[in-house]
Amino acid sequence: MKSMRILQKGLLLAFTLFFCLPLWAQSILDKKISLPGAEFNLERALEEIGKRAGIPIALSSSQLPAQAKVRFPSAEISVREALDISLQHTGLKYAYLNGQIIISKRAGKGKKATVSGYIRSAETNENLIGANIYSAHHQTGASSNAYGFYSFTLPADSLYLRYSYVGYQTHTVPLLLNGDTVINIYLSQLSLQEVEVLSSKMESPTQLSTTSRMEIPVERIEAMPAFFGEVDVLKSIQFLPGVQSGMEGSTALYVRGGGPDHNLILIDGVPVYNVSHLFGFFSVFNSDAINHVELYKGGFPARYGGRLSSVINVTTREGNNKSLKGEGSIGLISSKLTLEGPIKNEKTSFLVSARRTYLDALARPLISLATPHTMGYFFYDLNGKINHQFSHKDRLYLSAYLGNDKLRLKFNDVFAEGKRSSDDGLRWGNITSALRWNHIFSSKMFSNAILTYSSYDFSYFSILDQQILSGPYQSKTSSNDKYLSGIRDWSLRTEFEYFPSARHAIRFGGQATAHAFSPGASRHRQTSEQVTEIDTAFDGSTIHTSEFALYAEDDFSLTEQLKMNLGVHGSGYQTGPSFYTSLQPRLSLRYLLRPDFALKGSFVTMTQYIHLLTNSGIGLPTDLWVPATSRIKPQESRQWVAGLSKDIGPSLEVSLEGYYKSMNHVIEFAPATGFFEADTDWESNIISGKGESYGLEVLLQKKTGRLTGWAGYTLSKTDRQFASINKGKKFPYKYDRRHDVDLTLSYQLKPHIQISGNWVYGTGNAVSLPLQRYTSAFTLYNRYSREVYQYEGRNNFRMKPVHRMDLSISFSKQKKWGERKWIVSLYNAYSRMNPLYYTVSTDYSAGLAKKKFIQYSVFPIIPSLSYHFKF
Amino acid sequence: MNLFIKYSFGLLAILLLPACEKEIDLAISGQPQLVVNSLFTPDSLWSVHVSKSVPVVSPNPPSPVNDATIQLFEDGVLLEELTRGVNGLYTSTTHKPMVGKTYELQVRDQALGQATARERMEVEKVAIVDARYVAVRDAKHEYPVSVKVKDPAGVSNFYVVKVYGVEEKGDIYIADTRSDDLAASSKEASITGIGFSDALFDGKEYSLQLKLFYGYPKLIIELQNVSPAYYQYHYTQQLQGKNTNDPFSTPTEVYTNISQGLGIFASYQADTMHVLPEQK
Repeated sequence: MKSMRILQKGLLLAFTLFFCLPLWAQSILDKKISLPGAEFNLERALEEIGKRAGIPIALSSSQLPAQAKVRFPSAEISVREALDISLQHTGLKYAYLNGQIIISKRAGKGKKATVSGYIRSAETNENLIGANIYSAHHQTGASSNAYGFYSFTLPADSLYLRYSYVGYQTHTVPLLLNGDTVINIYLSQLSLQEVEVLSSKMESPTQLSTTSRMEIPVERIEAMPAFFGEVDVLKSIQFLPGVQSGMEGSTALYVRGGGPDHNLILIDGVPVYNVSHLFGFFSVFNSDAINHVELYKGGFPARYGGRLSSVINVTTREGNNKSLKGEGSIGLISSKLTLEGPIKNEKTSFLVSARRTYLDALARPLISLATPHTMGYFFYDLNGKINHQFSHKDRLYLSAYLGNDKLRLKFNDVFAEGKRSSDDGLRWGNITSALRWNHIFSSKMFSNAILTYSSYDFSYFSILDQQILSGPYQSKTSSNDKYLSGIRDWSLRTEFEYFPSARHAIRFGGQATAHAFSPGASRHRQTSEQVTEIDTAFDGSTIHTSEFALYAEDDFSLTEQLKMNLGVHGSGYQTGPSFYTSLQPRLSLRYLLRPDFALKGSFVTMTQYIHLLTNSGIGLPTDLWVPATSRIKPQESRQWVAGLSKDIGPSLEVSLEGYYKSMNHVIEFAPATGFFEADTDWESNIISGKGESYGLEVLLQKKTGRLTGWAGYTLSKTDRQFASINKGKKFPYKYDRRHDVDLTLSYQLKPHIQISGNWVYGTGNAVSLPLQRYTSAFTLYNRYSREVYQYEGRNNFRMKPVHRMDLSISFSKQKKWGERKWIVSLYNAYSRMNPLYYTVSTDYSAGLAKKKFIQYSVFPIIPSLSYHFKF
Repeated sequence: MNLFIKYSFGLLAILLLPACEKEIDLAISGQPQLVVNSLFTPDSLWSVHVSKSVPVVSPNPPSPVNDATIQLFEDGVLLEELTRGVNGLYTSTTHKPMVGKTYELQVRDQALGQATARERMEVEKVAIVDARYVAVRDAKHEYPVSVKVKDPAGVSNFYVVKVYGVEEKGDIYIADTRSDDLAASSKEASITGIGFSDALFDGKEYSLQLKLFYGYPKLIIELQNVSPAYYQYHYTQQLQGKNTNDPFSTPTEVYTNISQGLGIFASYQADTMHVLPEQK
């Protein structure tokens, strides 16, 4: 801001009287003009050129030599000639950029300087992640990192820097850059009326070297129709090409043929191991607490590792450090409340966000009336964050997430001879926390050190007591069963970002993680007066492993057209006596055919040292995280991507990407094993094999204007191959989806009314269905008949295609105390009964045991209503 | 707001109710295959059942094959061509399996072709050390039964235990049995029995805990020491029954060692014990 004030005094003398339609620079500079024959000082001469050419001329009067005089010839001359005459021997130069002529000093040869600082929201002081900084004069740009910090090294010169971010007013700063400069920029949010005029001045993805990356603004997520009124980050990601949703209503993600465990899902940099609530129908992310969501499906930069298929980076908000603010909502099944505000002098701020369902409170009285049972289920999330800025160079963050699902069933029965009671419970949940220190070493070097903790636990208990106090069978018995599983991580990570020039952005760092796995401990205890006491405990051991990683990457421009991100990620894993290592090259590049049209490509290899044992793949709490061991090798993948990216007009972007991914050592339960068998010796119950996925993805996206949204199409094929499944032959992955269409749109009908809609279509899931049935051997030696089903090949049949439309409309209104919004949603608006699964059923009604296939569907049309408020 | 919440929940409950099931026609058939079943033991004469598989949704049950030719080989030498009986049952009138011998079946049917199977009879009889039955219901209203075995050391053993209930009049029924025992590979059983292996107690005595849904005046406990092929067949069949209608699991293919066909050709040896209930 200080720099701005210096320049404001002598700035912008010459503006034209009118603006003409855009012309090419060449023709503008060649335009003939007549100039007065008198002698002028330089400032007046340039003003005359601007007037007569009809072009604004931007300059700083302090740069102009006061003694410089100019006399123009009496004949018509071109603008170029007039400028050449005016600026000769002054040490100044000119350039035509974006409809104006910029006068600047000729730079000293090779002298460069760095502009750095933070880009934040003017309203809340929140960091703006991925905001763009652009110098039109040098036709180069940079962007802010995950903490809003940017560093931009340019030739020392006078220039204009343009700061932009989706949903915020673009801000242009004139700057005389002759030494390293710190500029902290505060961008103002656009009002609803201004959204439609948001220009295309943001750096588009076409300009970036990355492939297969997408940012989803939180506003976009919140605008989408919601399932039961619950806005969900993961469900919005399911609408992107290359991402499959799995089962209807589930939050599970299958990215480019990967499994549910192949996604690195980070909340403030900390991995979350189970992102599901309510058996997979809701995710753990409370959108009110979220600042930024980023997805990588391929072309992973070297700083990421440890999973095969995707990185989903969710950054929570820091909290408004200017004033106390709040927001919340009341919906059909849950309510949310978020509070944020300053603690001290805009140096410290906090954010607390909580969400809880209340199905249990509503259902308990009804259940109690009808049965002797007491049943309850609920989930909750709690996000908290506090940050303190010690100085311009140092900032400390402490963030935490706590979420749990709890299911409880109690039963009390009193009968003539005695009484009986039971108490059963399920609980699962995550805890993540991060202590982060940002430090700016210099205008070119930023660092982040982070200590993290993440845990996921699942537990089950069942207590049963019975007392028969009278009659011939008097007895007292009790039993107690418990099951526990989980994973705990401690991790230390350091990251450095070094910006030596505008052409290079170098990142390097390392990470060490200590994992503790508890793949399953069960205990059964029974006491009885009739039977000897039984007390069994099995496999309560914890497995400790260590993971290490180092990485370095450079995002650099070789030429104006060719930009690439080249890096390497090296990792090691200590598990028992084995130590695995992996060197993973990463390359992604962009070649600009035109300023708005780029060819893109990438190649990455990834290694994953932890595995998820899952029968369902939908994120059930019983899924077990287990480590790679001497017998179970780490999973590996290679992925190639090639594509095109094009900006169409000011607000449309289209991208086309083809990919091929091969996976090795992916795991599966061995045939005829499952969850309960896995807790006895899980290593011997799983097998490893190969996977392959390839496809083509098209995405048309409109980010600005009254109508926003995207349309995506995926054509893909995904296989798995295991020696002991399907006779060793390849078979379709369960969520192999040949065609997948996603359409999501929002339209700002009026400043206070927004309508939104989604439509999805997907090829049916691959399922295994029996072809024949036959007599069991156990029929022979008894009097009872028993039949067995014969399957021929894994996933040998396709369920019917899935399609669905969701709609919503929101009405917002400014009130004295803030803003309120009503949202009405329709999930599955035309009530399509999509297949959830098929089974074989036996119908005994006609006196015969007639077999038939049954399709099960859930979630017909579901209207919902929610009330949101902000103050 | 309370009213809003109450009405919202009522609405939610109503909307979820229509979640539905419907019968669908699927173009699934597959080819009929020869099904050969023989679980053999040295205590019994040879017996083989032959039948034909049918499409899953066929209105007819799997049908016996009565005109097949079955040749039985012992250590590679033709022992006997089994005699056709009724309902697809083929038997020997003279031969019983012998421990240490390898047996091979060749089954030929004019329509379905030839199926073969091979199994070495090498399981030993393992005796029941003790069995107890308490005729008092426990906290879950079930009748506890325990079967103690002395497992031979140094060799992997697989067991199937079957419980028969004997009524007052002498009628024998297969008892519906359940087990929470950690060693048990199948948790519920009737005609198949409860399977368990010695992985947790190799070479030691072990008392397997069972539960009966109904009480009987007397029980007959049969402990089978079964071959790995038998156990695999038993286990996968139990698992298939459990998984078939579970949307979250992968359907299980039942193990078969019949080449060019389906079914099982496997050996076992059995020990039995009659058990009277312990009175309090």
